[in-house]
Amino acid sequence: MPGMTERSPDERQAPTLWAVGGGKGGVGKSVFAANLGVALAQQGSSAVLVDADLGGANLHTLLGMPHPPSSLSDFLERRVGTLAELAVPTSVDGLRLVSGARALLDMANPKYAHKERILRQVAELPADHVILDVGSGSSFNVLDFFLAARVGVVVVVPEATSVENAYHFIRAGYFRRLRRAEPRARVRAVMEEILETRREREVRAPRDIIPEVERVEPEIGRALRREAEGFRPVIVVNRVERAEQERLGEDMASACRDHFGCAVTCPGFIGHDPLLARSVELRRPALDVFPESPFARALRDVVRVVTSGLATGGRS
Amino acid sequence: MSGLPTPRDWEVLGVPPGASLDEIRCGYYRQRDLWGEGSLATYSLLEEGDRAARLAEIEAAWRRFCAALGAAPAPDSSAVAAALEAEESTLPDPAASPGVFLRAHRLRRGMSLEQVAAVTKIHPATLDRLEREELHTLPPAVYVRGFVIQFARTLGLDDPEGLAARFVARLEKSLP
Repeated sequence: MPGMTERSPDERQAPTLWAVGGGKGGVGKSVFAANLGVALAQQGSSAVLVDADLGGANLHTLLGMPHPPSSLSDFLERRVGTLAELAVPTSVDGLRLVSGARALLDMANPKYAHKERILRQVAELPADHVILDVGSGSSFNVLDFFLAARVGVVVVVPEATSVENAYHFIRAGYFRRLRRAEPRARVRAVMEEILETRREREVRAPRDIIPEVERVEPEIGRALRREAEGFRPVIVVNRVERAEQERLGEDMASACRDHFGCAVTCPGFIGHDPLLARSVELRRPALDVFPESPFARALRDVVRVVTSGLATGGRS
Repeated sequence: MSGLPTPRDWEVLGVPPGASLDEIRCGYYRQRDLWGEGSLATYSLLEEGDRAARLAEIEAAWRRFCAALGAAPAPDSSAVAAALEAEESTLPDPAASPGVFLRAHRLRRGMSLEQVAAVTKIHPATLDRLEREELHTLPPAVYVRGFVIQFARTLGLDDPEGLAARFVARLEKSLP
C-alpha cells in the first residue's frame, strides 16, 4: 500500500504489540480492543487493530465499517503478500484495521506456520502500536497470539464465571510460556518430573516450580525464570457496578503474583457505563462518539498507566 | 507452629517487613478475605485442600505476630474466630454512633483509611474525623452527607443514604 512501505523494515522500530484476551466470551474484549486502538490513535500514535478472534471477529462492526473485502485469509492463502496491504483505514485518524473474520473461521485450526507468519508480519506493520483481539477461550492459537504480545490484557467482569475463565487462561498461558524455554525437550522432561512428584517436593503452587527446578537443574531453572519474567499479564476489570468490585482486579493480580510468582498487574478498572451500549448501537467506538463518557475516561486512564509502565521498563 | 514470625509470614499477610501491628492486623483481615471460601477474587484459583492450607498458613502467621508483639494471648484460630464473631455481634448501633459503625466495618474489611481515601477521594484525615464523630470539626452537613454516602458505598454497606441521614441528624443536634 502506498505510503505504508516507504521506509524499509530495518529503519523502523517494531510496533508495540498488545493482545486482548481473557478466556470468557461476552466480557467486552472486542469493545476494549477497538477502543484501545482509538485511545492510542487519539494520542497521536499510529495503530493497527488485527482481528484474530477465531469465534466471532466483529471489530469491523464495532468500528462501523462494512466487512472489508480482504482479510487474513487472503494473506494466509498468499493472495496478498503482507499484512500492511490488508490494513484499511477506519473513521478514526491514525487507526487501521486488519479484518480476520473469514480467515480464521474458515480455518478451524491454523497451523503453527500460519501463526508464525502472522506474528512475523505483525512485527513488520508500519505502526506505533498493533492490537490483537485474540478472542475467547484458552486454545493454543489464542494463547500464542497472547504470549507474543508485549502487553497482554486479560479482560474480566465481576462474575465468578469470568474470574474462573480468566484464571484458566492465565494458568494455561503461564505454562505454555514456560514450555517455550530452551532446550524444549529437556525443559519438558524436568517440568513433568517435578509436577509428578510435587507432593514430596513441597511444590504447592506454580510459584514453587522454578525454585525447585533451579535447585535440581540450575541451567533449566534459569531458562524457565527468563520466560516467567516475560509473562506479565495485565488484568482489567470491566463493567464494575459496585464499590466493593473496584478492588477485584487488584486482588486478582495480587493473588496471581502470589500463586504464580510472576508480575501480574492491574492498571485500573472500568465502570459500567450505559453510554457504551449506546455507542455499540451507533456502531462507533465510545472513545470517538462519547470521548468524555465514564468508559472513555476510565479506558484512557488504564492506557496511561500501562504505557507509563512500559516507558519505565516493562517487558522486553 | 508458633515461635517468632518468619520472613514468609510478612508475605503471607501481604505487609512489608516492619509494618505496625495495625497494618499487620489489616493485612491479616485482607488476606483472610482474599483467600477465604467466598472470595470472588480467588474463585477457582486453588483446589479446596490448597485453599484450606493457605488459610491455615495465614492464621499461623497472624498467631506468630500476635505472640511476638504481645498483642493478643497467642490466640489459636478458634480464639481468633471467636474474637471476630464477638466483634461482629457487638457492631455498634448505626443510629447511636454512625462514625464508630463505619470504622468497625472498615476494619472488618481490612481497609486502611488511605485505601478508602483512594476510592472516595476524601482526605484520610476527614475520614478519620468522621469515624471519631468529631462533629465540631466537620464541614457543613451537605458535605458530610456526601462523604458518609461515599464512605459507606466503598465499604459495600446497605443503605448509605440512611446512614448519612443519621449522621447528619447527629451533626445537627450537636450544633448550638
